[in-house]
Amino acid sequence: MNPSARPFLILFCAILALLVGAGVALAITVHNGGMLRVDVHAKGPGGCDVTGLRIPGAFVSTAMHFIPEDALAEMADELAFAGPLAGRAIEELEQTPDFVLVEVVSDDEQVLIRKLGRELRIDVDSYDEEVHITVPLGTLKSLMRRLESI
Amino acid sequence: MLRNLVFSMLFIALAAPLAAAGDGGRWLHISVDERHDNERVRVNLPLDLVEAVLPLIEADDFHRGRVRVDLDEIHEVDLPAILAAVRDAEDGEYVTVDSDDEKVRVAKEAGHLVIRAHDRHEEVDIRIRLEVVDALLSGGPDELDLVAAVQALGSTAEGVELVSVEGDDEQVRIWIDSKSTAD
Repeated sequence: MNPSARPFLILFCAILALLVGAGVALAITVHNGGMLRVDVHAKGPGGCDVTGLRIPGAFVSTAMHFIPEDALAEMADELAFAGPLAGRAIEELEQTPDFVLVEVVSDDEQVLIRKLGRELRIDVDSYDEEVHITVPLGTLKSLMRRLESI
Repeated sequence: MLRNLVFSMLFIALAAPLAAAGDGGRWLHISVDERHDNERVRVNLPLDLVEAVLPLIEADDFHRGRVRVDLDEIHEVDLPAILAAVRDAEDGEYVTVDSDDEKVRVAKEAGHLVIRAHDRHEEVDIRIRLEVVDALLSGGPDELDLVAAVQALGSTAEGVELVSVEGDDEQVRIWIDSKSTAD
């Protein structure tokens, strides 16, 4: 190998290692934190659709740190009663096998709230819209922890 | 020797998760069927979750899993003493109200407190183990200990219905078993 090319090769390898490392770290973060997913489909004419909204749970937790303190304090006040309750419930849910928490079936709509793996999944199918929301339990937990810390 | 040890380790490694899976917790199921709206509601709750969350609820008369009840009108009545008397007594019917509008029956049947009430539109059937009632009243005067009651409910026999309401328009069932699904 040409000795003058050696530093460039080392630099290239270092950049490659950094990129691969960052990719692996991102993949691990997304895998561990899960993915917040939202799909809304309005069935009526002129309805608004939100499809394919995917946000890594870890990003949501990080984004919480950028919300102004007063807005967070207001949220924390509103959730003062439910916060610790939800936090404990989430901890228990994490240890529970998959199950359907709530199922409502009527002529007008179907609602299904279930625990799937490390996620809480909410499916609503009504006459005018279809909503699918998946929330990683870890994201909910860190959200509650952040609100409790205020 | 080594082979036996390896087989033993393998057996433990395989059996432990199976045993854990079989040792599922208890589930509280609520089923509501409304004929008028053609609506069907199913709620499934792990009892462990209920037990963990109840002590955290803080409301007006609800603190640390205990709910304060106004027993002013029946202060002279010693509920735990009555319950103890009922527990030691033979199975039988203790209260019967029979009027044109409704019939109410309170009885002890095989270790259960059974309350049956029915009027023209509705038939209510409540069946609770006496241990659960004991636990419920263990909090002290004017208090119902819901956490203790939930803990006692955990040992309720498989599939026993706690509450059953059969009305003209709706059917409600509450029961406990070790399955995570209501149907």
